[in-house]
Amino acid sequence: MNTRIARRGALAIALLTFGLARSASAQTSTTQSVTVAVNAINQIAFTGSPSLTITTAAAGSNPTSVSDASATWAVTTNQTGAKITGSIASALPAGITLSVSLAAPTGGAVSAGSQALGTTAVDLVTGITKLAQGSLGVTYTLSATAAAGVLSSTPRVVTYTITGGT
Amino acid sequence: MSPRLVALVGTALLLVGSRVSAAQTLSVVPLTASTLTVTSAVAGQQPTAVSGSGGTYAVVTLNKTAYTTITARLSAPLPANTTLSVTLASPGSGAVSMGAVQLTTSAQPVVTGLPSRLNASGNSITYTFSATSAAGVLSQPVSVIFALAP
Repeated sequence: MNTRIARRGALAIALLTFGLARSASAQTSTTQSVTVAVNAINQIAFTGSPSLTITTAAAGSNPTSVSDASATWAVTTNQTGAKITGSIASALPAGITLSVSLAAPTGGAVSAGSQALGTTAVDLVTGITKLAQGSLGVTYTLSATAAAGVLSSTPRVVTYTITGGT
Repeated sequence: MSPRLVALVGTALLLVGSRVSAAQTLSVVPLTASTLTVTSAVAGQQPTAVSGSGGTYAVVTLNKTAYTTITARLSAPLPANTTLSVTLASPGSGAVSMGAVQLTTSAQPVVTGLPSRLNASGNSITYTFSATSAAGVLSQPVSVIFALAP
């Protein structure tokens, strides 16, 4: 009888030890690792479809150029020193020039001013650094010499490209 | 001490030990969550925040004097111009999720009102990570510490 009770006591103590061991492993906090990342982001958008028509000239001078500032552009970049270039897919007729000027966003970016568009991309704004800004001005200017003659209305697509910095 | 007394005391202590051992646990799966990567933006606006699953958590509360709240905090500050929020789904039984809680290095409640007897697993964890353009390009592991609190 005493042997059986002693065994029960030993068993109980053994189980107690197990129970206390489980007690020591009770977990009231835990840590989870999460990796956060941001990729390089360079986005631009242009709004508006300006139409420019040359209609007049001062006698003795080439036709009077016209401008339109109804378009806007927006940019988001998380890099340093991004730039915007512009080009057109096919050359304009001889004597016709389409130029564009983009307003620079804040933060040290620099506008190149009015630049004639051609099939080779030209820099329009440089030094764009880590910003998100919209409603920036776009001004197109169309000019023609008398030698250009009459040009029927022809849509032209201007391609803008943002090149990421570092 | 007689063997019978040893058995009785041992059994009593065993019961106490068992009650304490099962009083409270909190665990998450997996311990390493998927990477949250901001990849895009609408031009003129800040980069688009990204959300992702952090897996699930399990919680056990069986002791009346135990914990009623789950808190969350960061082990270290996030990179500048970024935020990380976490949402823990309610484990039910009257517990209340605090919704998306922006994490800092200070513990904040994410689930409150845990009942005294709860054993719930498979409760979702959702993270949302956002960054401004000023944050630049980055990749960094961060540790989120979940804890049971009174």
